[in-house]
Amino acid sequence: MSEARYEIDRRPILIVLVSRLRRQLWIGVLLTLFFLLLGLSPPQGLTTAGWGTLCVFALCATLYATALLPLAITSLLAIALVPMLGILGARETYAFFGSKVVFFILGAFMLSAAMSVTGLSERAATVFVRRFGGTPRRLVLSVFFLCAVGSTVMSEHAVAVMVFPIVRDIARALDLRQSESNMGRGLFFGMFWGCVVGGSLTVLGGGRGPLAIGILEEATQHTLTVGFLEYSLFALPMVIVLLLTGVTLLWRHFPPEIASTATALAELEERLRRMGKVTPREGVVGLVLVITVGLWAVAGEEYGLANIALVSMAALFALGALKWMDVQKHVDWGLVVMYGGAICLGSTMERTGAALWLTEQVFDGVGVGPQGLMMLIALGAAVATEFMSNSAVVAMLLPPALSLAEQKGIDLRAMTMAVVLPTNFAFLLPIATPVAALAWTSGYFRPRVVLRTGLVLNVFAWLAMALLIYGWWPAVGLY
Amino acid sequence: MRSAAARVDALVSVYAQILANPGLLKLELMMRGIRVPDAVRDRLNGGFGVTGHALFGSAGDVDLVLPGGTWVSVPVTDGRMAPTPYALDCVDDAFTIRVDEDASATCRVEVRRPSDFFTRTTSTGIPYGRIGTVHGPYLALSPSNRCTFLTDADRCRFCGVGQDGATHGGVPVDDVLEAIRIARADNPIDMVYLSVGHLGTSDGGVRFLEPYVAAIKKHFDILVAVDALPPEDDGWIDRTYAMGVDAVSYNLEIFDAERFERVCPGPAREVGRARFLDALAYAATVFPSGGVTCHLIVGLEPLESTRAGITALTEMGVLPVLPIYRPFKGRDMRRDADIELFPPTLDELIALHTHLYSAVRARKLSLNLVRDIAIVTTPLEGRFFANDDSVWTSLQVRVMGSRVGRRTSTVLSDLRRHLRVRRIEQS
Repeated sequence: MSEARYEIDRRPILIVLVSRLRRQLWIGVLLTLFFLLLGLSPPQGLTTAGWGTLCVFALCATLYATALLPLAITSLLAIALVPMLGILGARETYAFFGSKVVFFILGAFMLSAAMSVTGLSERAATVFVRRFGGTPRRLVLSVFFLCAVGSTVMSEHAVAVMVFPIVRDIARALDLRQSESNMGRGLFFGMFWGCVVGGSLTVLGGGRGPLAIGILEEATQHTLTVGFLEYSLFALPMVIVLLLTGVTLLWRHFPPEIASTATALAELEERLRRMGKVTPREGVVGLVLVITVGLWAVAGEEYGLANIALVSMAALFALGALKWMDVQKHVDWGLVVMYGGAICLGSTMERTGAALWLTEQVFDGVGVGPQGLMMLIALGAAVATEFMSNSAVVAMLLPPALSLAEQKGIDLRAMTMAVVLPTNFAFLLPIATPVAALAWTSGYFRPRVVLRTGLVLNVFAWLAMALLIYGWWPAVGLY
Repeated sequence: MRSAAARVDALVSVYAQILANPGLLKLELMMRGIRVPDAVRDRLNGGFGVTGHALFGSAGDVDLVLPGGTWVSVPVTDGRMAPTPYALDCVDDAFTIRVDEDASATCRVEVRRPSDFFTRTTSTGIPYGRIGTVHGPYLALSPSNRCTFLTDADRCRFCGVGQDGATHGGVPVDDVLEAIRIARADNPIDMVYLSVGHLGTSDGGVRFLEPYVAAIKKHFDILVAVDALPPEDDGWIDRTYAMGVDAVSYNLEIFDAERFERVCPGPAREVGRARFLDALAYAATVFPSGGVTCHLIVGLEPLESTRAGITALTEMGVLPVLPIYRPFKGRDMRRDADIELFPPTLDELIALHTHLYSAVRARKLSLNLVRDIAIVTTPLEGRFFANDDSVWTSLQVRVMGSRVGRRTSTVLSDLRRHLRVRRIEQS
């Protein structure tokens, strides 16, 4: 019988009150500051609407960063404040939410849900690891590459959620001790790094890519975008560097203490046996996935990524592979809402000139060239993402960065990539990304090890960014 | 040697003093009862003689409101079993208490008719009067009067529960809710006392009471007090508070260790005096100030022992409540040859209550959760003995006893729980 247990906070009631209402108190302080700032006259060079937007931006950026409100709610608050303060009309403001990027994200989430619900993703993962995990080192690397590959077609969070129980069962089957097993650490670090690195390669790896593209498109009145294959092309060298770094770290830092993976393979065999044969639903989802990714790659520009995603979803429903209840349960609706609001806020910053004014104030007199500026902003994004959601970093940083790029004559697509790619450098803290948080729950992580290896990855990621900005992007004609 | 006239004068002076002091008068009435002449009885329109719940010793009482809003449930006596100088009088629909020895000494009182509670039955046919009692603002319910200590060997000597053989194992929750609705319809009740005996479980009846407390808190803005035996583990005390209980009583009854074992053999063996005291001390760190109470029955041990108990309990943050042993309540212990009784005099009671009030005040224990209990003298009423009936104290009592004050008290109690309690795991 389950029993509830309770803890009684015996501290003085005033302290308890303050600690329990800390969130509300901070929100109260923020709102007070917000209204105080709003009451001030706009600074020189900024319109009243621009000043209002900047106040809303400051409020929402703080809320995104501190997570005092859920990200989605902060986004909705931004959408509501813009027309309420008379910055833009309600019709115009709410229209930003109808960005095609929001629908692309929705489609990608639904596809991911279809793979999870039918068990296709779990089966693929199990087969992959069983096929390539013949020795302890190969088993670790197969988990790393499985997650990297999986995160190119699914959200990295979804991949981590899918692979985590498989890796946990493998660790149990191999009797790996949490406190001392290098093999166990290697498996979970492999999962963690694989998801993060692989997720950087395509726009399907997470919501931040589509969000950044959406903000770029809105800022340029849909004259500029980054295509499905272009995104991967721009990110490729960085991903290769990080994959190599990951393999090296796994190889050097986590030499397995076991000699055989036979028991793990038996466990995976048993897992596959329990799954039974491939069901027609799995087959349909697999087929639709392949066709969808193919269409994104070859016809994404012509038909639009979002349109392809939504038609694929319709096909899944028409073929009976997916039910609406599955979609309701597995899609992260909060993220969809968050992206819509973030795009709205970013666009409003652009329209009212607030983004430009802000970047002028921040970067006025900074004596670096265009590439140096991109490196500087990329560094800001990389540092910020260790402490907050990567999508929130994009929402906060990209609109002013785009204004700055416009002012300094930097290619806007390059600036977009310079912001979005480093937001995935979340190799240190569990709060940085849900993948990291999940990996930490395994019990195999030790802060010292995470810090040591995470810093190495961050340094190499940073070097890879330099390679992109100074060498690769000019070479492939981005600017 | 004083003359007869002088003795009469002294007596008159004493009664004048008693009638002028609601605390003294309450003590006197509770100990000595009151006579109700036939002529007055007719005017009461059913104002007493109701069949109350034996557990709470309220059969055949009349509920009076003394000056200062002091509630008292007074045993009505014909004067043969227990002679009493007090009689209820009625002139022009106004009720007064008069004293035989001093015709000039009277005290205006209000007589409250018994609640409809006593005329109704539960959905399973049990008269509500058998599962609880209502005396003015005091509502006590016993969803089950089962107790593993009701055998001859284990029974607390003063306990009258189930002597008529009628026990109930668990009243439906809806019946308890209905009981509260009925009682609140004609009485200003802001706290319900739930009592449970020893059920033979380690949780002190917490699991049994949980659905009742949850339902009460869901449907009423009312404080809930629980009268139970200490659980084996302190975690259950946390849970008692977390589930919605605002005040708890673990009634040691007798502070003297040797007498406790003799008068309460079941609890002494199964729970133990040390556990009572440990649980009380722990509960005092969980519940709000004044939210943990412990009965010490006056008259079943030497007053010095009761006094020591008061000191010990208040030092650990527990509020002592002093019921006075009355042989005509519960089980009559006068037939127990091995139990020595220590009937207190009025002066001794005054001294004891003065000590109680001082000890409680010295520890700054809140008296708000133990008020308006008609069947015992509450620590709050100790102010009448300690001459602390200042304007400020009276104002505090009035405000806290007002409708707004009582409502505020409930809201603050719930808020305190909301702030302090955290559910930490489900295993």
